Amino acid sequence: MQRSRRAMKLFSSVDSTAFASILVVLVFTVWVFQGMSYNPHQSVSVDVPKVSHPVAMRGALREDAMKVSILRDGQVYFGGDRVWSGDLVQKIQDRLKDRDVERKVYIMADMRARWSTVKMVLEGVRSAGIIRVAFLADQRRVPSLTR
Amino acid sequence: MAFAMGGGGARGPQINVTPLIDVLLTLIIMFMLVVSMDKEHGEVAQIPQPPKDGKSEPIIERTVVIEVVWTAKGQVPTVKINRGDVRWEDLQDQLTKIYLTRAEKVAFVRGDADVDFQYVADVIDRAHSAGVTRIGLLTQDRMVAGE
Repeated sequence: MQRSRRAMKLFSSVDSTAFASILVVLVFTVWVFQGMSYNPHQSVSVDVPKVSHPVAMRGALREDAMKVSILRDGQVYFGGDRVWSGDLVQKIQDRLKDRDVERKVYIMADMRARWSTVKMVLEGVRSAGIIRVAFLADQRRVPSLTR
Repeated sequence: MAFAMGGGGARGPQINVTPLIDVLLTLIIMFMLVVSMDKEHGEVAQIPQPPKDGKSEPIIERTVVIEVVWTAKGQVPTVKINRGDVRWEDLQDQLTKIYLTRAEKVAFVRGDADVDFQYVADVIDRAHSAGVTRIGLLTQDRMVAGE
């Protein structure tokens, strides 16, 4: 009996430490990339409005998408750069020099931002020659106050 | 992958990495799923361009303008369709009724300066749900032809 137990120990086994190391690296890589894709507005935090029937905006995930963020206090960002009302037109026109860029502006406005600020941004977008805009929004999970 | 022979002499205690691998595999699958599910959502709209060369706008009959009117600070703004008051809860039904027989499903949205963006986004969302395909955002305080 003693002899057969000792013989069992002779079987080879897979050293899974290397496999575990590769998995740890993969998990961290995916985690880091996920974090980067979640925050496309580089430290600009905006509470987007919640609506019942938003549509998918695949173009907003493109790296070259023109994104304007409007904060609650009225600050406006083009991509990650702070802009003032006069600069926005020029910034958009500079980006439009690239023929491949989509002629649509994605606006990420805070739900509590005043409409006057959003209107000012829309004026800038219109002056730059763009007609199509898209407001980023989240899916509403609870009933609206106005319903 | 390294293989270790069980009978290779005296070895110290080893950590069992199998549960660690299980956890890491689960994590990596979860991260990959979350990344693939993550999509930007939103509402699409257009900014009408002013008439060129000073020409007057073509008269469009039965133009629908939805207005979001500021009432008081902290109060829900009122909503109007072509200057007629509408209750928020009836807005979608009213719009559905209006556009039921129309071929051209176009609406304009105008808001007061102090209105929170959430309410305007709500109006755009409900108009889309009611079947409106094109929404024009009125950025200038001008009347629309046919209003």
